[in-house]
Amino acid sequence: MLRFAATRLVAALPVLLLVSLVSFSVMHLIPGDPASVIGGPAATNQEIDAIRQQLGLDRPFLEQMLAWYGHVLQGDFGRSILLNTTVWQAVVDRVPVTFSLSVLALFMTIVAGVPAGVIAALRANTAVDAAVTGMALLGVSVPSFWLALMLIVLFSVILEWLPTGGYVPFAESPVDWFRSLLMPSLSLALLQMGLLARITRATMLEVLRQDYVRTARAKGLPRVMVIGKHALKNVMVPVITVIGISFGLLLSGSIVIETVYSLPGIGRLLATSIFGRDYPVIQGTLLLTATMLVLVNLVVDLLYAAIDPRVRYGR
Amino acid sequence: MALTRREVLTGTAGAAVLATMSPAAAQRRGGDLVFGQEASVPTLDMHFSTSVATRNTAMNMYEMLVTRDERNAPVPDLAERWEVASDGLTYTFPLRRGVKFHNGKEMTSADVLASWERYRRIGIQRRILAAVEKLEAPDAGTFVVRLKERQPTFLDNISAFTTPITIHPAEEKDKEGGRIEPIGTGPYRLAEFVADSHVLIRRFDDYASNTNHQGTDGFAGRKQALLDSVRLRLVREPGARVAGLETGELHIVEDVPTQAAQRLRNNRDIQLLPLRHWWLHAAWVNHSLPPTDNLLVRRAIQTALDMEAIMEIATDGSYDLQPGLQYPGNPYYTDAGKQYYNVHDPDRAKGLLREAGYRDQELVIITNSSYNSMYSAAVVVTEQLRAIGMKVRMDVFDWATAIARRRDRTTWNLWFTGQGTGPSVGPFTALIDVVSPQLNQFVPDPTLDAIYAELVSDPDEAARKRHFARFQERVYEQVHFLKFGDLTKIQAARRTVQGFTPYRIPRFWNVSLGA
Repeated sequence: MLRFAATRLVAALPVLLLVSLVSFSVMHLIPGDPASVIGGPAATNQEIDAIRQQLGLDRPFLEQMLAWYGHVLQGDFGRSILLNTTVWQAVVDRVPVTFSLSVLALFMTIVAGVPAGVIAALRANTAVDAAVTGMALLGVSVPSFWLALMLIVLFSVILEWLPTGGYVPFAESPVDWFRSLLMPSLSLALLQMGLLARITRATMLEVLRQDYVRTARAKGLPRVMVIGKHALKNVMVPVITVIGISFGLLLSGSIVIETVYSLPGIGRLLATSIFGRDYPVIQGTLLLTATMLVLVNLVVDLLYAAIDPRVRYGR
Repeated sequence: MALTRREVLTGTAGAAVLATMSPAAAQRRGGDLVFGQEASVPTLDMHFSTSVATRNTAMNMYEMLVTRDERNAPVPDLAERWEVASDGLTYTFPLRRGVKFHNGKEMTSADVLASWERYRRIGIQRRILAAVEKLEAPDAGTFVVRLKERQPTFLDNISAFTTPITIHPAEEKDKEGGRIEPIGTGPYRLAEFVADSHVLIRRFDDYASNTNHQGTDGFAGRKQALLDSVRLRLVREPGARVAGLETGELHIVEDVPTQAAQRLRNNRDIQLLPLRHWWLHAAWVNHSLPPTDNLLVRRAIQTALDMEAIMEIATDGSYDLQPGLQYPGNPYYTDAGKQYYNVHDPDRAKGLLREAGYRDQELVIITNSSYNSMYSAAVVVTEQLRAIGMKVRMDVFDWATAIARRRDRTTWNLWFTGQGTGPSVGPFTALIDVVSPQLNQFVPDPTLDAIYAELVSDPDEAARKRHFARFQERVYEQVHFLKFGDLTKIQAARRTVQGFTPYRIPRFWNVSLGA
């Protein structure tokens, strides 16, 4: 298992190299640079050139890229052009926000999505199934942006239960931390719940038709045991794949949610740095996010082995 | 239903009443105010930023030697006064005594000198100090500027707040752009800056109010920090800002959408504070690329446009139509060239196209998706120009790409923009783009350059105003710039907020929170 994990990590290196190469090239090739953003539209050509020189952006593309790789290999992701801080610090400051948001949203997704899918499968082609499938479809289709605003109107303006936005660190107040993340997580989770419920339902329907389920029923096992022990465990393999994908989607979906709820997370950092052409932050954030996704995929692969005894790595 | 201009006017009157009804004597000291702002603060180094969000925060923390009053005319702030030598080459600024920095150190001429030196080295608009020959600090309380040549607009330039020459401790002199310690002499000092989240400023207890004034006056005046703290919270989404104001989490918000403003008008706890003439919507015109290389085609475009329709769609009804390239009330305001503005005569425009020999050449419009109002204005202009038979292509980019494209004269005919602060600080920087050798004069216009030279060099202010009127007329006549109208920025505050008067940036001095 350890060897498998190590191999997978080594195999991820070319992927990360490619990600950084593409992000570096694309950002430098599209028009517009940090100098023109800092200078604004009223800046003269000379002023823009002077800013560019101050930021070291007048050096040849290849020289800038090689210098960046050289520093990254030494663990230095560089300094942000627009924020008065290092890229590493900018990312580290924001990871707790996005991580809490994603984990809470993932928790809500699993707690609601899996049971909803199972119930829909067990009551296939009934009103319950139609209701769950309908809700799932609605969850996937409603724009998260609109949903987030509606939640603010309901829970903040009308009911006055939750704050309209902003983030409170866990260390400051665990209760306020939870309150500040509840609506954003729910907005993110509602999207994913639908997806997860539909996958769980489809897989469960397939599993319920399998011989071993029929055998389990035939030998008189209680329904809870048949579903809970035999069927659900087999449903979990594709479900875990979807959860892994969901985690990646949660990270990208957080750009919109972090904007609406004013959360200073990774998504917001990435969006701001793209609009401001803050190259070091864009490259650093993409590289670190890609690394995180590689790790999540690795965890998913390892979970397969834990759930399905037929899957054995490293033999 | 849109907020009409008449309703906006009523709101402005209300705001003025609110300000005058809240004398400082009756105001309560203490309280923590929360301001909801729409853009993230990129940096707190004002020498190296043109961002409005930076200004919103930093102008409450830093001060300038000379700044602007309520009408946007130059006025001393950290300087006690100024003296100009008879040859116009030497400016002497005796400094106010007893002014302290947030780190406890007393401000002297050495700090002013160092701050100006830093601005000359890295300041984005350091061109405004191009005429400076020497900066001197003959004693701790005097700062002297010697110029190479006469520059009658010198005080206007150094008091402009587009990229203000803020004063910092001398130790900051060698810091690169964006790397400064946020220490100033203003009524509030920095307590916490969490990028993408908020900036927290607290009352500076050792603040020395300028006793030469009675009350609030632009960025100068007698400033008193009555609040314990101000939290400037980034709330990018307008709907969330309005919700935060309604629940009382936010005390003041900026950029309220017109439709939400309509709803807030019925809320007794909330006061709308419209800032008229906040931003001027317009498009630059490229004289080097066909078909806009032809004056008759440019005139046809100018004649065809219906500014009311453009501004109505672009701003949801919060606008004023006026031809000035300055805002009404500014010292240099003029309506010269008004005969060319908002003509809206498609038939005459078609005639001009025929006269120009226009034959289906493509007109390229560049606009951006980052500012909705600029995008919407471009959509309406595109349709109005198609209606007179022009072949129009609209290219939409994000702001950074649009700015970069503008520098390539072969890619566009009309480039959509907005000018907010530029026109408010006077006529010398706002339209410099069309003056040689700046950004937008791709085809020489010696007449315009000559008028501009007179504008910046005539020692007589009344004469300078006449030159500016000629300048504006020439801009219209040659169609260098297509002005559509002025946008009203709607701010709103809880009724508990007292003494808050709308200005180019929110000022938190002389503002208090009632019960």
